[in-house]
Formats: sequence, structure tokens, C-alpha cells
Amino acid sequence: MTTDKKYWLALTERYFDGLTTEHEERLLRQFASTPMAQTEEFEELRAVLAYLATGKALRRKKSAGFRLTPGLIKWSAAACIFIIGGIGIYRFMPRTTYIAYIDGQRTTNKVEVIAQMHSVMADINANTPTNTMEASMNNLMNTLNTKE
Amino acid sequence: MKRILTLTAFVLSLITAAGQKGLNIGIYFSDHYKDLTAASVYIEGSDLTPYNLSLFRSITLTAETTPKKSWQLLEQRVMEDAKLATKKEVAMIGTQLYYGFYALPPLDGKTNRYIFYRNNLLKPEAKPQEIMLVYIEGKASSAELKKIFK
Repeated sequence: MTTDKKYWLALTERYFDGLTTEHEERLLRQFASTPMAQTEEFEELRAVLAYLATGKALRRKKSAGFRLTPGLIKWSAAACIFIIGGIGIYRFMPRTTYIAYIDGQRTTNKVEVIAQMHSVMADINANTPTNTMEASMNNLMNTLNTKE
Repeated sequence: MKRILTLTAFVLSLITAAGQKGLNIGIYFSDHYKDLTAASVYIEGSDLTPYNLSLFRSITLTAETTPKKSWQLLEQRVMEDAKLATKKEVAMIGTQLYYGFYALPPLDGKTNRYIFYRNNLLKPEAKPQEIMLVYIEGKASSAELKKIFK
């Protein structure tokens, strides 16, 4: 960075005339923080640059909250598919539910529930005018019981 | 992104659309009735697949737990659902249903449904003094049930 004061005064003048390039403006911003710029001649320059810097920082802060980036979208979509796939797999995977209520008490014990079902079918078979269907269903329960 | 959203909506619709039964007797297999029944059984799943069944539900109501109004309502609901039956075996005592076995139209075109009902409260000498309601689903036809489970 040059220490030629005339150079910086000329550049400052061009800045306020709107004739500087981006590179020159960057140089001016760097210059504004040096001891050479802390004189009355460059007071206006420092004030303007400080004002612009503050405004830029405020704008950056406002827009920094939440940004939907392509990466975020991809990860969100992947997470959704994973969750829904998991629910789907759980919902459709082969499994058997066993629930029985006996005198108000709930049980999910497979053996107990099957026993209760067996009891129901035996009751039907023994105490209803027989036909092949009830006998067949009773046989079903016997078969399940044997399988256990 | 559009494809992902479409796929998501499709999968969700599959998950939520399953499990609709639509029978009047369905209320007797809900959680509300677990305290009122003497006993109930619910088995559903792959363990029943070798027998071409997918669901077994039953409830047993006793004279102690079931006022007459309640079991008459149960009978009405059974008979309402029985109107859908394609096959039935029925016995009446007077105007009341003593027992009934009904084959209902298949669910989704391939899952057969059966209802069995018996009310021993209509016969004081009958033991046990209970009302029984059984509901079964599965691919087995009534004829196949006879063959499979002999």
C-alpha cells in the first residue's frame, strides 16, 4: 500500500465522483483503517465507508436467518423418504398381533391369547348345533395350538 | 423435488387407507368394549397365513356384564351386517337370533369374511350363559376352511 498522500486524496476524490473501480474501492477501505487516513482530510471518506459497512452488516444479518439451500433440500427430502420408508416397512412387515382381554385384564402373551381363542372355539363346537364349519374352525385352533 | 413430493403423498395414502372394516359389529372389537366384555381375543397377522386366514376376533359377553338392552342391540347389529351375507346358517328362538353363521362378501375382492354369533342367554339351560361373537377374515373360502382344518 503506497504512502503517497496525494495518491489517496486523488483516489478519494474519484471515489466520491463515482469513478473508482471495485479494486480501488477495496484499497480505499483498507486505507481508511490506516493511521495515514486518520486525518481531517479523510474524515468524510471514513464516515461514508463506515456507514456503508454498517448497512452491509445489517443486511447480511437479516438474510442469514434461514436459507433454503440445495443441500438442505436434498437432505430434507432424504430424511422424509427415510422416515416414510421406515413407517411403511414397519406397517407392512410380516408380524402377528396377539391381544386378549380376560375379565378386564389385557394380555399380549401369545400362548395365553391362543389358549383363549382355543377356548372360544371349543365352546362353539361343544355348545352350538354342530355343523362342519364350527368343527373345522375348532380344528384350526387345534392346529395352531399344536404348531406352538 | 416434485417427484419426491409425489412419491411421499402416494406412500402416505397407502398407509392411511388400510384397515377400514365398515361393519356394524366393528364397535364390539374397539377399545371401548374391553372393559365390558368377559373376554375378547384379537389375533391378526402372518401366523395365520398358513391357514389362509389373516384375522380372528371374538368377544364373549356374560349375563352379568350385559344388560338385555345391550345384547339386543348386539343382535340388531349382527342382523344388520348379516344382510350382506352371501351364505348363512341361522337358528332363531321366537323372533330372536339364537345363532348365526354368515359369510360376507370379500373385502377388496379377495379377503373373505365370516361372522359367527350365538346367544345362550335365550336358553336358560344352555351352558355357558354367554353371548359369543366371532369375526374372521382370510382368503380361505368356507369350503376351503372345511378342507384345511379337518
